[in-house]
Amino acid sequence: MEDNIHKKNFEQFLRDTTDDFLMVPSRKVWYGIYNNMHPDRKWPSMAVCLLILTSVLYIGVSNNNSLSDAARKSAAENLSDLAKIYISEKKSGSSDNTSISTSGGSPQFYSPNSRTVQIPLSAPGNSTAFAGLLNTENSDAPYNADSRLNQIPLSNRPEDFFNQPNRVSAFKEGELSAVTPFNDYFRDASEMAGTKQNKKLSDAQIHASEIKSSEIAGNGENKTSLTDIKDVSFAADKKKGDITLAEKTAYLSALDNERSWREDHAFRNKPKMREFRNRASVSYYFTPSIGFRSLTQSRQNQITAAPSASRQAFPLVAGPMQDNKGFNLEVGASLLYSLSENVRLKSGLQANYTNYTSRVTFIGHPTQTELAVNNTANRSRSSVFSATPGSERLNKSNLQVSVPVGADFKIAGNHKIKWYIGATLQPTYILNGSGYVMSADENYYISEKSLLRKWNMNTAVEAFVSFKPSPAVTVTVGPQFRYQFLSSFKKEYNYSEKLYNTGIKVGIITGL
Amino acid sequence: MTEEQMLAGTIRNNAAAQEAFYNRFSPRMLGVCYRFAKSREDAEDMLQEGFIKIFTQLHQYRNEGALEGWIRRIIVHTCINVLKKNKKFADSVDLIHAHGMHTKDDMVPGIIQAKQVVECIRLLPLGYKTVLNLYAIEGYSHKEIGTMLDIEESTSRSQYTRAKAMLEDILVKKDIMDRSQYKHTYGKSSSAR
Repeated sequence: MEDNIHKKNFEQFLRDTTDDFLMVPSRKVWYGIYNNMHPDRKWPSMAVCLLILTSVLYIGVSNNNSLSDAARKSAAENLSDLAKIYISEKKSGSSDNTSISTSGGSPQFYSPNSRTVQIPLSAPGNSTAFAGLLNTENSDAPYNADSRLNQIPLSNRPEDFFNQPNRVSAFKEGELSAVTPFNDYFRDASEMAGTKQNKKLSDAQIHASEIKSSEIAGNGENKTSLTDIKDVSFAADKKKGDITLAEKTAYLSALDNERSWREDHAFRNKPKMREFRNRASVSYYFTPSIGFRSLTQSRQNQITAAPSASRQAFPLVAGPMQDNKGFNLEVGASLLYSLSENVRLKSGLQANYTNYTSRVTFIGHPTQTELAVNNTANRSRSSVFSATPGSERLNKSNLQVSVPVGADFKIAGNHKIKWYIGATLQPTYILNGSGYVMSADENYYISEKSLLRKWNMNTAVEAFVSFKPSPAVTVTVGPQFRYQFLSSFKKEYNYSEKLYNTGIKVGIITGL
Repeated sequence: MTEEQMLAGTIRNNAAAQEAFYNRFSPRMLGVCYRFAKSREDAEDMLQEGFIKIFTQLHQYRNEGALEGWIRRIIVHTCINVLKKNKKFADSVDLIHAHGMHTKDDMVPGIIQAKQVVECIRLLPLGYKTVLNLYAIEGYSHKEIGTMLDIEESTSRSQYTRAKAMLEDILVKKDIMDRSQYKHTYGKSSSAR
């Protein structure tokens, strides 16, 4: 019986104690419940987002707050001593000296762009001086195994250079001149100093900046609300009934507002480089595609056949009887910058190989024909390809370089998978092309590269899915359609040819 | 907004009424979920799932008994379902072999009053914790617990006995509870066991 009483007493104790235990959930719980109960209300929100897209772009570009004076001062105080030396030298101009003198006496030189030092190791003292400075095992550094110059790979990590007293003392004692070895070291050091500045911020600011950076980084995005409320229990010293639920909610709301302001302030006052890096990412992609062309006769330049030439009855506009689609390829890299969670700008560089084929007959010997240009002066040309459909396939290819500029818009998704649509305008320069044009009598194909337009404008639209197989990498896959606005040839040519292709674009996005 | 208005609005899927309903009951229900869950994030997931069920099944509430009790039962069942769905029982120490575990002194965080007790409960192995929560706090019988957890009624009894003993040790070690004191407070005093 005593055991039963004991048991009931214990259970009553547990019930009474745990009954006072309250925890206020974060807002994302309610958002999850609301979205589940009211799924139809998402679409008007998405429509509004699309309608105010241009204003979001404007606000995102113009709304970059700079560091406050206090934060700048704090950052300056946290710079490492050597970084300060560099900055003072940079201002005085003494760091422009590109030579490094060794104890061996003979001056050597370095190339700041290649990050290698060309030093003959045979010089006395060099191996000792540099063995501790140079990390030959750094797989990240570029290595040129030119034994003739005895080039040595260098560490790209500032901690390898600064964090060992022997190296620093060797640098200071004059075995090397007091010149900044490589800009990259000190830039990294400044960034390290920038991270030290972050440690002076409160924990909420650091946590907020980390959350926000992961939330809007192009890679990826662990969604965490900035207004998360940590658990607070109210079953503390107050007696039962002293604190009402409304008071508790009001208290937490005030706490939440303060925390939101601090987190927002921290986000907007991060160092610019760090904020840029958090929002920026790099995309590498390739797009195998199938290329087509459309050919129309220029209305201004009506073709007139040469009097002596017989005109074969082939259609002016090359159709399926003559032209075949060809394999196209696009390879490029672009920089992505997230303006907001749903919008990001992109620009980069890409190379395009465009191609389509025409079925022709190889004549075997040059045949004289004429090329009509502007319908004024016919140029005499020779050709070995007859336009008669035959067994030969004439490749009409172009090699282009483009600078795509555009934007991506997220239309749906969660932290793992996202759906985007995107578009770019691509000013294009034609590096090389086959330049095959029709003769005046349309009987032959002539290679006339002078008629190729060197500059063109393309556009591409795409829809793709992005997903993260690992935290550092995002893979994108989706169809793309690319269209050329201007004719491949100059206005002098009687025909207007426009290329277009459609394919699957595959890309990888990584952080900066 | 009165409770009747809130209830009627919630049944009609009115968002404002639902939010008022949620704000009123969620703090206590999250405390319930927290006792079952491994972490706060898991507890919030249970809470979210539980409230979605509540909103979709609220029309079945017949005013028989307190509304909070009805909500609490749904939340508890949701917690159990989430634990079973995530195979937490399989991954953690199973019910039969949990008796070999010992808690270290520094595992009990230094926080006060009710949260201390809750944190001590959460220190228990998953099976112990679940049975203790269901029997001692939520008031389910061992038969009902056996049905919910797919275990024998006798297993539920034995596990509760062990859970209770382990929790008592933790609470006494941490000076959260004095065996003689709570016996005096909650019942007739009796000789020490």
